[in-house]
Amino acid sequence: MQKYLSNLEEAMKQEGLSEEVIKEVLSDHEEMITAAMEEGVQEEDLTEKFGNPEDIARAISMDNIEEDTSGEEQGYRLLKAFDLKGEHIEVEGKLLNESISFTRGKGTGIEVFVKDMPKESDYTVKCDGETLTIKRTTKLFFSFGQKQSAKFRINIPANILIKNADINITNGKISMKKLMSQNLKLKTVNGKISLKDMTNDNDHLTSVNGKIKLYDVTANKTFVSQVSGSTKMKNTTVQNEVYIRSVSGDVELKDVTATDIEYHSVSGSLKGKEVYPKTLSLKSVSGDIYIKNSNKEHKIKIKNKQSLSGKITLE
Amino acid sequence: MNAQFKRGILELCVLKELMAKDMYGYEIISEISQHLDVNENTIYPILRRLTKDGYFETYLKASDKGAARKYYKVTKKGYQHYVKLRNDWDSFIGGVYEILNKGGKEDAKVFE
Repeated sequence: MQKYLSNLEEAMKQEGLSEEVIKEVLSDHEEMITAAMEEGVQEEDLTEKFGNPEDIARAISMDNIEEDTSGEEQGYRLLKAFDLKGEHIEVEGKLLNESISFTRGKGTGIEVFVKDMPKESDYTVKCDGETLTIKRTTKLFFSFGQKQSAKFRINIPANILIKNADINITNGKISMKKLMSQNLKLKTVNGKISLKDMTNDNDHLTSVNGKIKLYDVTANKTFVSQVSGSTKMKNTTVQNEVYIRSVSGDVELKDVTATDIEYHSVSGSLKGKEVYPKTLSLKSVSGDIYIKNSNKEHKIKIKNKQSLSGKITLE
Repeated sequence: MNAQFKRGILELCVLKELMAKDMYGYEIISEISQHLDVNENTIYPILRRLTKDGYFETYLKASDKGAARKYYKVTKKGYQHYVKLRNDWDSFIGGVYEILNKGGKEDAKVFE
């Protein structure tokens, strides 16, 4: 039990959870595991019974993000609220070092919250009922001591479809959670892109140096392009193709289903676990590719498999 | 199954179990896993979140084995949430059955 708990503690630290949360979760698990063991559950069955510590940590961390989103208490304040005309919206975003996150809101209109915004006049935030625009209107001059950058949090009602989202940020983070979308075009140079619990049609994600994360996403087509940032995809189902292009960034796939997965890299590595496409195409110059699947019944048609100096292992 | 959808259903099940009596974490988990194929780690985050949202309160009570256990208790807000989820579920599943049962159960004929 101690080993399980210390793995759980480590996993939660990795997820960046607060000490208070870690302490609470550990004590809850200690109690539950003690009760389970009293009823005859064996040490070696703990992972099967209580789940993989990494998954628990991830689930809790995701729930914590969700709590943040309601967030006035986290220092966010309501900047603007807009009514909607139809069942869908368009989103346009162009920012420099600001972060932006979208999530499902409880209301019937769009709410824009902000935090750490020094000057409101630097931005245009508007919505005509169909198109939401968030833009930085002033240039950012090189400024000493300005460490904080504004963070936007946008609540979108549950039944609203994001028809097109075109967001371009230089240094900030883009995240979307619990929403439906048709065409997502998200681009950052140094920031992270994260999608969680989304139902999408076409995703087009580009990040030069930042990380790209997709958790619990259902999509039709997913296109990921990165230079040195890494990509993680977990529990994701794509109807058609997943195309990942990377120069030196690493890619990790876990529980990913698709019709076609195509991976193209120069020196990045690909690590996959439970990856089930119908067809698979792998190309790399010097990166290693390793995919491990437990379901041997599932046959994958290899369309292409080539690496100049990297190692490709499929098992 | 869609993760979100599954979570909503499990939320409903957890609420329902706790309406009958206050229970401790592992008790809820073993109760639900008797009926549904769920991993414990799906239930725990639900307990945590519903507590944070004010649907449950917790208190500690010593067990007969000595160690204190955290018991979960449904609040009034939790009860209201349950009623809403239950209504949503009933109308959803009712709709599904209306579709499935259209024209009787004649699916077998399709491929004959």
